[in-house]
Amino acid sequence: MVAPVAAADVARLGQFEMGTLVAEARGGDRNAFDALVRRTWADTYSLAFRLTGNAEDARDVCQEAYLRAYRGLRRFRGDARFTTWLYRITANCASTQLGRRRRHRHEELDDELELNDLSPGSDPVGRSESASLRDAVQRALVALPPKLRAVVVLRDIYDLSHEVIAAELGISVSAAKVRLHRARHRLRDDVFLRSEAEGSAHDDVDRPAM
Amino acid sequence: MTMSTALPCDRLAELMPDLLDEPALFTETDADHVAHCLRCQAEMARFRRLRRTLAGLRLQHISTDPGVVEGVLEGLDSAAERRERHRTTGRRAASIVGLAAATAAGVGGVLVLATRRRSA
Repeated sequence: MVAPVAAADVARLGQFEMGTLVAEARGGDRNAFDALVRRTWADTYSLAFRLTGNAEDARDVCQEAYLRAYRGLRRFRGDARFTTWLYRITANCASTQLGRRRRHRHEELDDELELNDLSPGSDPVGRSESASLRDAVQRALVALPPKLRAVVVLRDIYDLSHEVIAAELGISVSAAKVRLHRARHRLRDDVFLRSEAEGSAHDDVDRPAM
Repeated sequence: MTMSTALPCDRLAELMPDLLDEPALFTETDADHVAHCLRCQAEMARFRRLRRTLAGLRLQHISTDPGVVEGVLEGLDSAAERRERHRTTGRRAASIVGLAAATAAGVGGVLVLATRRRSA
């Protein structure tokens, strides 16, 4: 009988392969860098989309981030994960792109997200409950102002430190913390208080007249 | 962000978003209060669920046209070509400058020798 492979082992193997590809790419192997792009682009695009709020900017940010990564690969010391390093570059590119967009055009955010769930299968009941919460959080995220959204996306979804976030967005650590505080408060209001208010409004409507 | 004069529930509600990162902000008195306060427990549960849901989004990729990755790779090809062209142009310019310098040095040397011979 073949013993099941633990998820941690798969992750470790994935990290090992990534490490090998990064080392080869740093040595000038273009095929290795292409393989890194193929492995990470969906993640990078998702981050870019979450930060910019629309597909067109997300594509531009993705393109720019990989170009910068390619040019700067020799400077990557390997003391952080390659993906974390790439998140930092993507965050920085998105910040530049958003600044450019603020100067040149004003567009509505695209709130029609199509998602691919990569999480392992869970029970259908819990899944539908968490799916509705997840949708509410997605909507609330899209509705946040870009400056607040950037901080909460980088901290709470991609787990970057306050220091890294501040450095990549060009703000102080305390400003990053203040923005995160405001963003979480607004998300909580949008996700829970609004749905609770809507729920109680429905109850009032459903209640028979006395 | 802390308002010491506010009621414990209001003060804690204001602190809750930061407690996720800095649990040290939460004193023993606060813990005692939360243990007996349903309002604060509900508030804390909301922030925990929010944080869990946000963390879960990391596993959700936003669908897009697979052409994005091809576009990225083409962009890298163009950048590599530009860099190579730049390098070749640089090398060519450097050899021309080197050749010119060598010619100038040679001509200079001949002139110096000719001047010395004439004066001798």
